[in-house]
Amino acid sequence: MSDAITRKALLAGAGVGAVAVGAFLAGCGGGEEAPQKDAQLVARRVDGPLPVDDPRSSAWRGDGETLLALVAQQAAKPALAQVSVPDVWLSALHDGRTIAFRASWAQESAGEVDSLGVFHDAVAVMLPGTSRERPAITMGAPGAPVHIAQWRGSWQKDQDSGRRVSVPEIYPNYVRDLTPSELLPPRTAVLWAPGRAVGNPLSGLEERSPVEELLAEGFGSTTHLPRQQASGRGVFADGRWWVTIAMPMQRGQGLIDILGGLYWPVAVAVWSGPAGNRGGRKQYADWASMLVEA
Amino acid sequence: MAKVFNWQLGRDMDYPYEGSRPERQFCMVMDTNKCIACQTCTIACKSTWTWGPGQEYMLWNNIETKPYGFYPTGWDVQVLERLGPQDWQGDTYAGKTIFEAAETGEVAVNWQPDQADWNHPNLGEDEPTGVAGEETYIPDIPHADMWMYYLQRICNHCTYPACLAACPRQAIYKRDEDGIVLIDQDRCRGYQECVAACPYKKSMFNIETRVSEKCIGCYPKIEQGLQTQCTTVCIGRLRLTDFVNTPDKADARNPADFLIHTRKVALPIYPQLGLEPNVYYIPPIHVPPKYLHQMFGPGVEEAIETYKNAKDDDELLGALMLFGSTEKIIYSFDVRGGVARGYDRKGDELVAVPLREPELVRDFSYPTTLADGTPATGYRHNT
Repeated sequence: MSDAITRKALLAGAGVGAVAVGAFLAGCGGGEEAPQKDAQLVARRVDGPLPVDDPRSSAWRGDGETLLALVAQQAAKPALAQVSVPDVWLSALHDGRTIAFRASWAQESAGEVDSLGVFHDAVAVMLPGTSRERPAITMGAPGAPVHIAQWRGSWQKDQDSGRRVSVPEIYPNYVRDLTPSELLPPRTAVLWAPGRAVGNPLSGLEERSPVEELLAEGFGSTTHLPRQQASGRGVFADGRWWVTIAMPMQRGQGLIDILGGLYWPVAVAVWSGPAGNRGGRKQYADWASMLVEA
Repeated sequence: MAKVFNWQLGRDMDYPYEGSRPERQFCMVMDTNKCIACQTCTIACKSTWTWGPGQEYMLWNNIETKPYGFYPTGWDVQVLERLGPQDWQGDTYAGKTIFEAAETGEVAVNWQPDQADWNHPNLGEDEPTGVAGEETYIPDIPHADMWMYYLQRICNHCTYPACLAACPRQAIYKRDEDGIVLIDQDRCRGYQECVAACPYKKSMFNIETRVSEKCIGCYPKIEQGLQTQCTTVCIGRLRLTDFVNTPDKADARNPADFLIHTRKVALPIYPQLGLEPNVYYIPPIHVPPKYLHQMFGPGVEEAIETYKNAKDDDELLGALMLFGSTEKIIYSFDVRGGVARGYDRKGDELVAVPLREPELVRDFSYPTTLADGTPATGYRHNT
């Protein structure tokens, strides 16, 4: 169970701790037929382009923005012992074709590198895959898949810098002679980058969005979707991450379309790289109801 | 947690998955007494498997000086310190394994090395435990005050791997045909849980491909009946790649079983951690037993005594002489007429090694002639 506070309520209240106005109940059924009392998040319909490239745009602010309390994932091992990010602001906009989310949370420093014992920051929004019923919060369940769009700090850095962090940056005094690619044809040289050789989407060198789309049917089952359509951008400033995640409302790939005028369940997870978060070591907010304006 | 039997502990233990032993279990036997830390094995492994970008700091095989050398820094003391008391009652382990001592929410007692820890392979190389003075003379074995030795390390392809247990995606698997533990490079998402959980620190993260990798036991060679790269290049001939059975199914004709179960001269590394590691070590004879007991468990002193008696034990000598004698995997061996012979899976002879070289004593002087043909007596100066 997680608390949700509207920005409006928060601003009107005397203090953060005194203004909790509702609680999302895990396992509540979704559906426009019976509007949810816990429907705090509103995906406002806007005309014109969505500010996906500007996570700090004032367009993201509004009554529909929601503060979601985060709890440590402790249902599956390895678990997160304690949260380092207690809450995340979430807002959403759509233009009838694309739905976009903006998440923002406070963090002392940014995690933008994948290295040895060094982890990236990330945020993911989770939506139901094949029905509007709330799937299990455990990343769905067999037969009840969830659609996850995860933004990664390290992928953002790749995109912003136009390159990947490489070994000489971590170990500047390392000396090496030839690399396989200097000696062998590409098809052979790639064998010494095994993740790349087998086509692991994490290992590829191609330019990509900082957001990865995944399908899951339970913990440990995340699968990279063959067609990646999500986009987004993350900016770290003033001790906060401001991150957008956008995806087509006609999702395709066996996923139902996100239609306006309906309530949709949405859940969020946040990873703090500097706190050692990765995989199941995450903090998350339980399913919330999101009204996608008609 | 399931209960599984760990013969190295002499008892059942907790493990996240049901026990399922492979059809055959890859193993390696290392004779620590023969190693000179030439790192030929390290280079053979690196130039075969890990010379790509992102693998620069990876040493699937490494040789480190004990007690002060580590790769990564402090790997074993980090886990030993976290584990708590590690007492044995005879051959039965009375302490907790890393699975049994895991904190709430964790699969195993773990430790995540940082970037600097991977940066100093064998920091402290050749550092002995004491300071040698001008008068230092060490007449006795084991040495009480001043010693060091070389420890050869690869992945232990454990029967109960912590890397496999800790992976939340089941991206790590143990092959039924040979017990080799592999990371599925397609399925891995680089969480590094395997790196943190493996107490031997033989899973490593590749920052270029952003997934983890590990020693693959040279499985393409194993599939062809060949021993690993690190084994076949070893100039000290101190390694044996083989398959090991559990004690109840031990076959004394199999060289690994003979050394591990029959003569009990080769011991697992840190068995108390509970992974049933499958690299076995003939302990260094000059090191204090207290230290060796911590690293190799009970039976260290008996193993050393047996090893020191090899000169009078033709079967043991024969098994040791077969190390490094052939690139092929030796499935069985025997010693007859002063010759050790190794056989393949079908029983065909692979190699024959005499236990003792023939001895020839040459005379100090020999007849020869001067340049003008005058008979003379020559003298050997290099005998």
